[in-house]
Amino acid sequence: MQNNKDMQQWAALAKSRMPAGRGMFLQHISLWRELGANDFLQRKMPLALTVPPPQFHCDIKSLDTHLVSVCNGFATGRAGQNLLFPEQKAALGDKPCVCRLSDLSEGERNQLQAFFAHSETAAKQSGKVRRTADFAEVRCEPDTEDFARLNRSFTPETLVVYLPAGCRLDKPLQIVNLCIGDEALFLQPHCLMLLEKGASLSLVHCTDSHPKADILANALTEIRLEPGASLEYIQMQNVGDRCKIFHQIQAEVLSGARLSLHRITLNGGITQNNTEVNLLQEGARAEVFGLYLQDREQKTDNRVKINHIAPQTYSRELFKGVMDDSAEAYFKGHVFVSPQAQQTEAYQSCRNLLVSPKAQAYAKPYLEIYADDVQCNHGVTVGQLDEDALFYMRCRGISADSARRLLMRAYADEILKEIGVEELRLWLTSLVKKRFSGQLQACQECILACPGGEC
Amino acid sequence: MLLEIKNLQASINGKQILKGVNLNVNRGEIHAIMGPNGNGKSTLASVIAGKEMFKVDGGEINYKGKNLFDLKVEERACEGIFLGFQYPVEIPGVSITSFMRSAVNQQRKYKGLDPMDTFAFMKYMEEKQALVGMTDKLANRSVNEGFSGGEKKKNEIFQMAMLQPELAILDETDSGLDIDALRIVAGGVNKLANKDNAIVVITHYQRLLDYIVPDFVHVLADGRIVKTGNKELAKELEEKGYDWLKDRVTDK
Repeated sequence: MQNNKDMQQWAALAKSRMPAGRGMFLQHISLWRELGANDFLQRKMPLALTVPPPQFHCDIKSLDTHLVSVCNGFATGRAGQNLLFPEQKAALGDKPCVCRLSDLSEGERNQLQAFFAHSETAAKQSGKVRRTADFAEVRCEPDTEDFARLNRSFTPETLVVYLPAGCRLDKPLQIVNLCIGDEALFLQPHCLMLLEKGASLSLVHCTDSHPKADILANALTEIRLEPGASLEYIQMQNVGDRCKIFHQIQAEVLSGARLSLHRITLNGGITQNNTEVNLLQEGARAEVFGLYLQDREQKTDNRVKINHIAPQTYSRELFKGVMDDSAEAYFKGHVFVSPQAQQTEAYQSCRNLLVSPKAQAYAKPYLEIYADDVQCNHGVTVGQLDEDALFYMRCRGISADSARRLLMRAYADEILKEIGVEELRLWLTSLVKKRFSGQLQACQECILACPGGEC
Repeated sequence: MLLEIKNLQASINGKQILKGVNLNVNRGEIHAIMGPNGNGKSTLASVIAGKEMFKVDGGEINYKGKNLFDLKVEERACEGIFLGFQYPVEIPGVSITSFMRSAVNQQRKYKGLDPMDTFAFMKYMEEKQALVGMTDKLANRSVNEGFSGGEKKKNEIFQMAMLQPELAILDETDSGLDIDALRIVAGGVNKLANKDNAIVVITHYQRLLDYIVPDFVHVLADGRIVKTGNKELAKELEEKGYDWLKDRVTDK
């Protein structure tokens, strides 16, 4: 990548934007820092899918899904194919379609990109804004918009998920994002999701890697829910400790549409989940849940921006984390209620459990309200395991370790129980259980799991 | 002998609570420990269970011939010691069923037995629920969360029934119970008492002893057992209070 002029420019820009000093939030986990790092330009950007990986399955025997495999940012499957139904061609017609953006006709590409065009307008304005209220008015924050632009400009492939009006899939869609390779990589997966009027989808989107993979990713997912559409989106990382995943989700929710987003971080060296939800029309609803389970030296950062632009909109955030060893977690939530957004409800909560004396959690809740007829609350906590409960359980013969795990699982359950599709909930519950008992290195049925313990 | 306590001294934050307790408990016996508040009854129960906040300053406890202080909290439980809590702890998010399954199976593992399968466990649990009149609805809830005082105590006796301890220490199981709940709880205890186990009830009031009839009544005052008698002693205490015994201590 040393010869790539664009990336050299970005690396130079990043050096000037790298956070200086040590503040509580922005400084510790920053994509600028990664882009400005000395070894950034040594990373390779895969330009095409060279070796198609074998078909694989996630660790989900009971889970019956439509599976779409993506390897280092490239979807596997023939060119021009609808990846959901291989016998069909990619098209934005009356059938649901998952495909590469490049497989659509030019007319369809323009049609689709028109839905997501707002972001560019916003980017143009971002130079002008100063006050936080103004950030919200243009519906983006400067840093995240820079990273979105970086992704849109240089992503080698955009994945499209499209559901026509009134469409509902017979089973959940699963996108498995696999990161493989012996070299250090820089990936920029990009995904556009459009659900037309009244369409409904359950989507589980996993990012997995080889335990030793060295990946830096600047991922972007853009979602648009047309009136009455409903999306349950479970986004999950389970990558190696050397991986640094920055994943931004931008969503626009129109009247009466409903977004339920779960951001689940099971493993990863550095994970930053940026979420921006714009509730643009009356009756739009969004629930954003987060669960992060960190140990060793792992770091995680969840940032959520929810903009209530229209009246009678609803949002709820609930983030929970369990930090062990020397793990660090950051949470920054910002709810913006515009002057027009009367009768808005917004709830924001972040709770952290520190199970080791060296673990750290920082949380900053933030409400910015310009309407007067609203119901909002916020709260954050950082605490330890309940010693009395541990003693009580040990008094019944449960070992100290098991008691700790039972309590941590109970803590995580509050997030998992919000998952609507039962089989997904059970699957995630079992993954979380394995995570706490130290059995989750990679999903076991996946080709990444090292056979015969060779790593 | 099941439990032998010799000259036990214990303190918390440098304050001495137990000042030389002696107590012997055999299988098949029911003991009651009575005494005024703040004189060490609950401390004694906590020290036997292994609560770390109490420091043992001297003396010994032998349980089934072993030095109890060599065993961890959970090992004591697996060896058959059960503490019924005065204030049972709420554990949000952990259902009674999964709590009890962990406990039963970990105790079985300790004894070298295979874990109970789900079907057998559910059947076993139903049987024990019936003993204390616990409904399925309650059993599916999180441990003690939002339970009334009576439900919490019922849950303690239910757990005792599930774990079948050899030595059960019930710390003020009667406090906060109305008369109906008291009957149910005491009835459960009586059904569980047999010639192979021993029960120690800690109580303020003679009331509970109308339902659970003890073989021995001990008075614990100022960190020592100052008097031991039969069930008649409890009645005498109910009439006279504890003051006459306290005086006896000072006389000594």
